[in-house]
Amino acid sequence: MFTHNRRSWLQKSACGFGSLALGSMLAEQRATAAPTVTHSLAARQPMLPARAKRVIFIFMQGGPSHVDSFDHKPELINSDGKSIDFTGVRFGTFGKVSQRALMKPLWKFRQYGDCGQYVSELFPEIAKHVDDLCFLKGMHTEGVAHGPSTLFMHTGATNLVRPSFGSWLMYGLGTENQSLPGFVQLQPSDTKGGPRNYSNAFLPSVYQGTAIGRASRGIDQMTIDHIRNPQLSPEEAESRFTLMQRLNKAQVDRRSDDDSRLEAVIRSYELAWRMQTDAPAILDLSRETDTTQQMYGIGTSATDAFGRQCLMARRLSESGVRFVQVNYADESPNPRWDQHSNMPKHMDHATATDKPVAGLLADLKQRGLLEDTLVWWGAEFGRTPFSQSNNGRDHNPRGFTVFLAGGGVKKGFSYGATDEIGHEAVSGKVHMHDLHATILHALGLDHQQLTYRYAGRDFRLTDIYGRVINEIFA
Amino acid sequence: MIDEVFRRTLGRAPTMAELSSLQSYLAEAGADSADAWASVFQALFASIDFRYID
Repeated sequence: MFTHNRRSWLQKSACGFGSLALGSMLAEQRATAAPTVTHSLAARQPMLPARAKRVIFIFMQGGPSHVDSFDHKPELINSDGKSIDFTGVRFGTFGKVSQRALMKPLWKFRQYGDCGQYVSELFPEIAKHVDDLCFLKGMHTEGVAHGPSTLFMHTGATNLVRPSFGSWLMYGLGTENQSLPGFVQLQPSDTKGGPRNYSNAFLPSVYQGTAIGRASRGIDQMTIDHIRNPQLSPEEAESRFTLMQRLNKAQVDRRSDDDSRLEAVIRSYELAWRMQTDAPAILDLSRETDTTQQMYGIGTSATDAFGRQCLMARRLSESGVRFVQVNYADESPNPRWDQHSNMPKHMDHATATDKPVAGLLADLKQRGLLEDTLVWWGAEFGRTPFSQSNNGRDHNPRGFTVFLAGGGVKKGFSYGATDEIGHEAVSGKVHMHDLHATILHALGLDHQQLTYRYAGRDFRLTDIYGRVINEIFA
Repeated sequence: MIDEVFRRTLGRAPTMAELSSLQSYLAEAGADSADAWASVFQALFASIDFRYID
């Protein structure tokens, strides 16, 4: 009989010194890290009265132009072609003054609804819902390239490994359906941070996001791979699963450290097991009526793929998933909305997403889900009012627009503004940190109290920043 | 046999708890059945000790 196994020998021998040190460091860290909290997916009461229970984030990867869509700037139309001085423009002119020519929007605007919100010809379907929407037109953020700005939007940091918004939400609230993951990404991109955008980072592993499909795959692959084993009967599958979990439990029990990551492995197997029963039905869009499918643009080639994502988002939200992210994304160096040249291409992206988003808003509303579901539409940044490569626009983190709907935010409301040409946020400014703080607030979480101790200090989604925009709540 | 299987996959002998789990599984599934042994190997390959190293 061996007295030492491979693992304990490594730990106890000189070569295992690193493992020992790490083990004791991890143990110390845990001892000081809020020991009373049991980390699990179980739903928890929020700290504050909550307006919303869940979030659907519609991510428009690449940065749609606000001045061509929702931020109507008559002065930009009047000044078309005029060259003016800008500072801090990218590509070798950072911090210096350089002349750029303004370019008017390519699409006409008109007013919609009782609130009179201007919307361009890009989004005629979303336009019909303006009386339910809350526009934030003074957004600004960090980073000028997709990678940093996309990470910032998801995690509140441009270059460090930090937990994603959805993971913080799971840490604070758990999730309402124990047979589904609580934080889901539909068809996410592997680029611009990729899985780091939905990673739990240093939060316990049970809070990590689950990807369903990939941006690189077709919409028919928006599934959970191998959710069932076709070769085993349910009885055989169960007895095999039970055996494996017994071995896992025995293996975790005989270890001296108690590593949350190994517990997470066991729990993720359990979740996967429960998902076999519930998830296939929830992921099956064919259970929806033709009328509902048509609302989302399913069956029409331009809108089919994104329509399926949006309908899936509703089905998951309705089933109690805490955070669902719908991704209009791809794997290219220049993401979809990234029109550095050829702005007319914006119309393709608008067409692909306009009806599906409008369908989602209408469907949530008719089912009463909009009351406690917060919808967030937006991107990592907007685009410049000046032209680039003739008929394109560059990235603009200094001023852009997002909209929210449901979850207790004001309806038919607009908050904040950019300057006369739409370049920089000047009033009612909402930094991405502020947006994070505000959405957490809607869910009953105080962004200053939602902390996690790691590596010797407390961390927050909003770092040391963030202001709750109380003005937008009804 | 279980001892041999553990040495080949994990490089160690099974603990008492593991041994009894596998013995009762094989007693139920049939120790002569190739499917049962396939399940044992699958469970071991999927287990924490096989998949994760410190």
